[in-house]
Amino acid sequence: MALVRWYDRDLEPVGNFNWLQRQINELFDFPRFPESQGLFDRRVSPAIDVVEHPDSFTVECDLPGIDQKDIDVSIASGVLTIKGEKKTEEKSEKNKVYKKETWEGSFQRTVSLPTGVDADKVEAAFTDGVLKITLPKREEAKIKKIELKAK
Amino acid sequence: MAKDVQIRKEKEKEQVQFIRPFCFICEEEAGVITLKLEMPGVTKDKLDIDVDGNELHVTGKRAGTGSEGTYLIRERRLGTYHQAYTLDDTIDRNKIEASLEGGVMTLTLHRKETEKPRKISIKT
Repeated sequence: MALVRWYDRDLEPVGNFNWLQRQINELFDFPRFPESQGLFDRRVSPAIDVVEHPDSFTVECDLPGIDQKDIDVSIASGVLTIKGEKKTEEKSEKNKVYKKETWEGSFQRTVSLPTGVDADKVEAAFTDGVLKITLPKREEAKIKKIELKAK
Repeated sequence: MAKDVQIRKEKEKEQVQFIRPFCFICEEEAGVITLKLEMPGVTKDKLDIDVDGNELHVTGKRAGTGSEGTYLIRERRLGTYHQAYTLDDTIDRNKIEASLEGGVMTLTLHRKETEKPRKISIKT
């Protein structure tokens, strides 16, 4: 049996504060958003925005310096996958690199899509290093306005 | 003293929050320096490159500033990119080339001819 330092929370006011801090922090841990990090994500997972509109969802992703042909977007069983590779033509052995904040190599990002997305009508566009994927909602998932009839 | 701090804080509040783009600076061959800044979403007409004396300012404005709707995931920072560099005396101010492709701005800076390393032959 390991010896543990005797500790009484009631005798230590600072400990009480720490406990309260933990309790408050746990309040913010509940999952309000769809999971933003998937199981198979690579080390580099680019930042994305997922926005819900009345009749569609849009996913935007910043991918600067990447060729359009190197980006692969797919949907399988309600999971959207953006993956690809960022290639650099420079040979860094010969170069004298002063500062490097950019990354290179393969990247992957998966997003579990909300229900009601029509996977057959998904469109993707890539302009100025920004990938924009439009995911229309199915007819039954769209918000319907019910008119009130006056009697 | 305290007033100075207060004034500075007020000034900081007024200023627009800029996003610092990621950079890549290297010298591929002697005398040619490549500066790359990743600015996704910036188009050619929204990009400003100024050389003011010893200072190089790069400002890029994003085409879209967020979309209407409910954000389910929000990780990107949308706003204006800005980065300033100090050019030293070895850089030729008149020989700066810029290009923008796929959200990456590339600046090519050249060293002045007089600053390039040259070999001095010994006379016999």
